[in-house]
Amino acid sequence: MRKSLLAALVAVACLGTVGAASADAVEYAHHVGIESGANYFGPYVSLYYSEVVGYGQGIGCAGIRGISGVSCEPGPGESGAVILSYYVSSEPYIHNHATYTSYYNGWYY
Amino acid sequence: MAPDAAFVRRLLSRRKYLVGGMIGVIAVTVALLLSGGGTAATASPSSAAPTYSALASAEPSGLPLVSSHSKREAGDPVGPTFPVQPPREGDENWPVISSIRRLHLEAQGLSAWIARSVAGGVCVILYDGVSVEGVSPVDLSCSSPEGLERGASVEVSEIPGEPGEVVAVGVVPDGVDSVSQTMADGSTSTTPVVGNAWARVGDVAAAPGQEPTPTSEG
Repeated sequence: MRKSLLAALVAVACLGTVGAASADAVEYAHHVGIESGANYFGPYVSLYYSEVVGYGQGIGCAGIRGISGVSCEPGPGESGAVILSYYVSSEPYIHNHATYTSYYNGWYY
Repeated sequence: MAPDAAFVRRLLSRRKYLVGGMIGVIAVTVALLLSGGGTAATASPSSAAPTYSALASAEPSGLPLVSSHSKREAGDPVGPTFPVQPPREGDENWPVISSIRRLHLEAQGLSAWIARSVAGGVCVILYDGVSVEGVSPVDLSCSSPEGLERGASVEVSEIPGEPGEVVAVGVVPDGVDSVSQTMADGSTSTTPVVGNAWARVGDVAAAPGQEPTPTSEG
């Protein structure tokens, strides 16, 4: 009786853990400096989402290599994101649209 | 009969609190009067929040919503979809799904939608019409709640198979007739607004840091 109760509790705890960890993007770039006009590529992964948010006055653009164009932040510190209709195997990347080196965070999912 | 020493101390202590409280009330009253917040005559009228008539449309959005993603299989439909949940947990720069409405753009081959954001701003979603291996990307941007007056916009470049093409789409509040923006070559682009939406297709990107400026003729 006690064993089955314990097993049930463990099962519930595991389900809870899976549920809690099921939806959050991976931050592949954190305050990364990118030269003007250059790209910063993340890992080769399975993904459908790429997002960029910059620091300071720089304008960054988020893309998914070979699949999408780059979607730029409309203003400094705002968010630009690309969302695909299916998972693909590719790399998320950030393009620095500013005329000087700028710093960005990037996420994929 | 002389009052008890402990009673006097309690009385003085209460008086101290009373005086402190009165000073506080007076200080708050003076501050309110100085800031003009306490008199109806000097209070500035609150400006009305910007409105977006396109958000009130009853037309179906035509944008399929998905609760999960998978790899594409042969025969799966081609075209844009939109996730119900934000991939970044707790991201408030995400559309309120029930508020997504289709925009009608004059530019051929583009599809776009407007939505309210969870944070209280406005969002624009763009599909540039280009699918790679059956996978369709959409671009998303949301304004901050403070940016409602300016609207939201996305600019897309380096589109696969469309070298040099730059697509920009945005939404602005009711009453805005056009948006102008300084371009990377130093020129100024002015784009008309129809139904809260504007779209520009060309070969020049906006100058870095130059956001679209809404203008009204009236």
